[in-house]
Amino acid sequence: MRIMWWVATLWGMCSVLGLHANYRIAINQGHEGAIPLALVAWVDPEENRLVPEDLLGEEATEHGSETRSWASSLTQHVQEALQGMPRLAIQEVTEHAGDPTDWSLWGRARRVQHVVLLRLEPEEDGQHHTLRYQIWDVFREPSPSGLSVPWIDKRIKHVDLSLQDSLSQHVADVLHEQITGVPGVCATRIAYVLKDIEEGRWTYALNIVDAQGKHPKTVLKSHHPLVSPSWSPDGRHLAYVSFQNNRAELYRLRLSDGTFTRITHFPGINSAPAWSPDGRAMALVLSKSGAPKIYVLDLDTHVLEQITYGASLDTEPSWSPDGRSLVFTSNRSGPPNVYRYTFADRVLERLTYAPGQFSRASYTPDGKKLVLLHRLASRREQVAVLDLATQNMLPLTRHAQAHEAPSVAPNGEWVVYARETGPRASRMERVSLDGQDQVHLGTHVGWVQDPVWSPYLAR
Amino acid sequence: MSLSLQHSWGVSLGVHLMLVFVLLGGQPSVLDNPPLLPPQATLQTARTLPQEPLHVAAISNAEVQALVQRWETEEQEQSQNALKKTQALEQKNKALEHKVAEERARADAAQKEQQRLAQQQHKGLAQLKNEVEQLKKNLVQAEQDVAQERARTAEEVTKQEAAVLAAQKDLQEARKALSAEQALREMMRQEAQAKATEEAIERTLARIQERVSHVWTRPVGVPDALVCEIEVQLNRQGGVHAAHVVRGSGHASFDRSAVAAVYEASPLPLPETSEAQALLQQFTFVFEPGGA
Repeated sequence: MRIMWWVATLWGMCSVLGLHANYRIAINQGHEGAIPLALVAWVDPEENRLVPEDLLGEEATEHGSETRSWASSLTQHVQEALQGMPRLAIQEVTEHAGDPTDWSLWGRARRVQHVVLLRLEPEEDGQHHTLRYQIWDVFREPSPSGLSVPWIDKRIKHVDLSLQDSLSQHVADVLHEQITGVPGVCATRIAYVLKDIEEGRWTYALNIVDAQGKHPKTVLKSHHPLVSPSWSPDGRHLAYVSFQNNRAELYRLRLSDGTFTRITHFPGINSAPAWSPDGRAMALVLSKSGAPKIYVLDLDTHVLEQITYGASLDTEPSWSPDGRSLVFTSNRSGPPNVYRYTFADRVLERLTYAPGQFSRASYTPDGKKLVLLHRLASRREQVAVLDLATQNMLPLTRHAQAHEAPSVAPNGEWVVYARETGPRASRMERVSLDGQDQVHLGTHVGWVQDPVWSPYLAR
Repeated sequence: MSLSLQHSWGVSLGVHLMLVFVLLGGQPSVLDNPPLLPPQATLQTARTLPQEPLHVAAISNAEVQALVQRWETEEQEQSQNALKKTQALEQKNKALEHKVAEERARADAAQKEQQRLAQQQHKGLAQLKNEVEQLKKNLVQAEQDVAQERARTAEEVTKQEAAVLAAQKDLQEARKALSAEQALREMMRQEAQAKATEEAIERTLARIQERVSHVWTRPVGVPDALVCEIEVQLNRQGGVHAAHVVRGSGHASFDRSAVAAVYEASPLPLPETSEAQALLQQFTFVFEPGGA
């Protein structure tokens, strides 16, 4: 009883002193979802005077078209760039003119976590413009003065008002990275080959689109097959296989001016180029000595090193993110499987053991998983992710149609692939690495082949 | 009683002493008179007295005659005188005797009286003595009784004192027990209150948990193994006054989502009682999608 008394006394004292037990509430539930945010164009009444008319966006209204402010237009583009990105949900896009407001309160009232404010500010020279973007965390503690302050407040000076698309993609990526912690891929590109019949002939176009599959740009067109485009790590070149000389040769295309140069033209097959992460070497497949084998070409010294030997078919090399190993497809033990070659110890090991055939493997940026094609007994292929540590395999596609050429986005969030939609028709699709978000990219009609995601591109 | 006893004792003693004195000391006054002798003895003594001058030899007839005459006369006279004297003496004796007899009678009477008195006295004394004895006895008895009574009383007193002490002790014990019981009761009341408060808090915690879980949208693609602790301070209406990340997950967007959920759920449910409300002014959320 005495002890109880003490406990009671102690408890009483504790409650008097406010030292009561700190209750803890575990929150294990909840649901996964996008982070809600609002985009606000802060419109300066002076802005329209400052921005050339042809750079202002137009919006169809009931009464015809209405010219929007540049900031509004940019905001719209940012929203488009982020469309379908599952980590962010843009709840509201609006304009704000006039007095500053407390964006934390404003955002809380709209049940968003972040408010993004975009504003075009004239620079002192009277010619250039600065794009100022502020990200408000509406639940952030106010500053010591009691004012709510933006969480991030940055300026991009000397913006080229005509490059609104790339600016909006850049801003979208910044927002994505700041808010989700994962770099955005809005400013990245996807290269692919579009095979189509033009004027009665097969035409092959090497196209580039943005991450939303929009704004296609043809960088090369040929009546000879073009296959296996591969981005240089700096995003300035594309290597590809061309049959323009009626055999498979490797070329390099400089995107800035569209000029291309031949890399290899060994006898036999020259195919499957893969730039090393440091950009100084290229893995490729040559059949100059018989069966297709993996080689590595030093792009500076042009020294060629044979990696695999034997009579088996080895193809589709892909570098690990650290550049220390290669994965490739080989039929050396029967059906096609994925193997890894490690440069340091020259060890070759098989990575896929599940039933079926495996091909087109590439690493995720963290080097922990492989994205690959898995051909089942039904002869249908599906894109899958193989966890190298656990050997767990997650299928990302479940369509009945054939799939091919998966390629991973540089942030490791997405896989782009071609999906057959009919005879001689396929389209490009994007799927998140957990298989949850799948979207059709672009509106192309034709036969999409070998889509490949670019690295991060310098703005 | 003893005083009267003593008094009567003294009286009886005085009477005795007086009697003794009368019997002894009173003699001389009686013997002032001629000795109380029998008359023959007195006569003999008178005859023998002249024999002594007979020792003288040679005395004449005449002289002897004369002498005899004289002696005769004298004798006569003397006898006369003696007779007279005897008679007087006899009378005197008789008077004396009478007187003695009287005195004796008186003395007897006195003695008798004395005796009676003495007897009476004795009797009274004895009675008194008896009484005294009785009284003494009574006294002793009384004293004994008193002593006994006293002893008994003392015992009783001791007993009673002991009883009182015991009672006091009991009372004290009872008081102690009462206060202990009161304390216990108070403690039990407090405990009951604390329990009620605790239960109210538990209920509220469950509601808060449900509410926050309902509004929490954790970012897409974050690992399950993250843990974020957020300390929350409520205002009186249950509104979230402050929410601080006290232990971050290392994943900023995850932490922000947790903070956002806390604010999103604001105002949080409050317990019914003010005590419970006071205890729930501040607590910690543990956002742990990988937890239980």
